[in-house]
Amino acid sequence: MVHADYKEMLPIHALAALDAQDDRVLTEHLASCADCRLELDEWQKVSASLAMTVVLQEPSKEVRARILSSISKSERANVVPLIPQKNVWSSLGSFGVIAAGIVFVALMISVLALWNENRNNQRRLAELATQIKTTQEQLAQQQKLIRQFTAPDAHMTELMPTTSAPGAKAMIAYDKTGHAMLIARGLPAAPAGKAYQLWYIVGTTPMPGKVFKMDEAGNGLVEDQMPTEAMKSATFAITMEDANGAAKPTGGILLHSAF
Amino acid sequence: MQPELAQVDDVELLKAVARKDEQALADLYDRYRAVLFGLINRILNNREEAEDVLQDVFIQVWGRAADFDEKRGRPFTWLVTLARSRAIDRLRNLASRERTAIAGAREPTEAVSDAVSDAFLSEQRGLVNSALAQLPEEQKHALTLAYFDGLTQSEIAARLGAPLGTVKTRMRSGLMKLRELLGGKSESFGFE
Ligand SMILES: [Zn+2]
Repeated sequence: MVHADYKEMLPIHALAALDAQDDRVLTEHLASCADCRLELDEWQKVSASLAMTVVLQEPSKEVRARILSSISKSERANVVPLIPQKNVWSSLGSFGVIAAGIVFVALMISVLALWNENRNNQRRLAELATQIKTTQEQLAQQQKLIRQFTAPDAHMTELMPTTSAPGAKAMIAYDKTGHAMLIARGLPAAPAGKAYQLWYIVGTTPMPGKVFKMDEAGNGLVEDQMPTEAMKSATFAITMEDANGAAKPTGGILLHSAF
Repeated sequence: MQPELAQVDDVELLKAVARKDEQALADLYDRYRAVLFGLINRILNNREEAEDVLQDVFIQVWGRAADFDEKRGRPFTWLVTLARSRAIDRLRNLASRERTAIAGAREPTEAVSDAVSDAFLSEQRGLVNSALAQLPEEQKHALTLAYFDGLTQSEIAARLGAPLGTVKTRMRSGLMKLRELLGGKSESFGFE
């Protein structure tokens, strides 16, 4: 595929009218081509102007009230910050399990293995958790995670490697509140100043998730709050970025879920 | 329309939303609810679903206003893109859940009184409508099927019984022509 082929897809992409296969190919290209991303912004402006042609309509008064009441509630609930964390351990630290990183990863792997076997097997998971000698606080955190991963509304998605990351594997699990947990294996340790970053690709827009590093055992783990728009349908992807994370992907896609 | 509202720049309003200024979100809602609701309802043809999506959109605006990048486009583009993508998601969701029900739920579209349309929006609407009117019918049709019916290029080709290549060309040429016609004329599209 030559570069002009991507360019030709851009206006249709802005209309979100590409077929799945083309969309996947272009999304992958966009992740690494600033020129096309810039041009896409232009097409998006043109495409958005079509909205101007609709008949203006008045929603019912309750909608405004519902929105305002919902946002003041979310303020009080202290929403998860959207700024990427410096690294995964500091985000774990906020949950009080900073010292238990390695145990935690081991537990997560077990959880994922069990998940594949039987996602409703809460009892075995609980037994597993109690076998791990940890403080009450850590245990409470782990049980919370187990509940999350075995909840009937939890979703689990596998990320497959592209040719840039042969042998890598990752899984993401998230619940209906958008609380997500990603575990990755088989990625090389990121060079100094770099880290892996999770992305939520919604339609054609990659939305930044948190960054993470691989530990000495070759496991990467990150906990994140998904953007609401990613919760109905999103493609998950991993790229390598600066250690502080990027607002838009600059590295090529290493792993991604089904488009 | 409150005159003072139109004078606050949209970018400033979104920045205030990012700082968790509830009044700014309310102002943004007051300014754009009619066009966004019109858009969502045009896509879904179901007031109740459309109101639900409109609510989701503004809750998202609240949560993600800090992601808005003024270098990449105008707030209007950002809001519309968000609203449309949520509406299309909902449409596809509904279509797979109750493929037939939605078609039966088509409701008559009632225009709102002038009370909610402001001078700024009317001017922009005039520009786009007259630009669109200059497009060949088949280009306009292809754009409409993609934008408001959420159809992909292949679905449009199948619907029209036209070759895929032709449909792609129509969409591309249509948008290109629109871009040309709007270029320089309209500040809100950021083409200047
Ligand atoms: Zn490119």
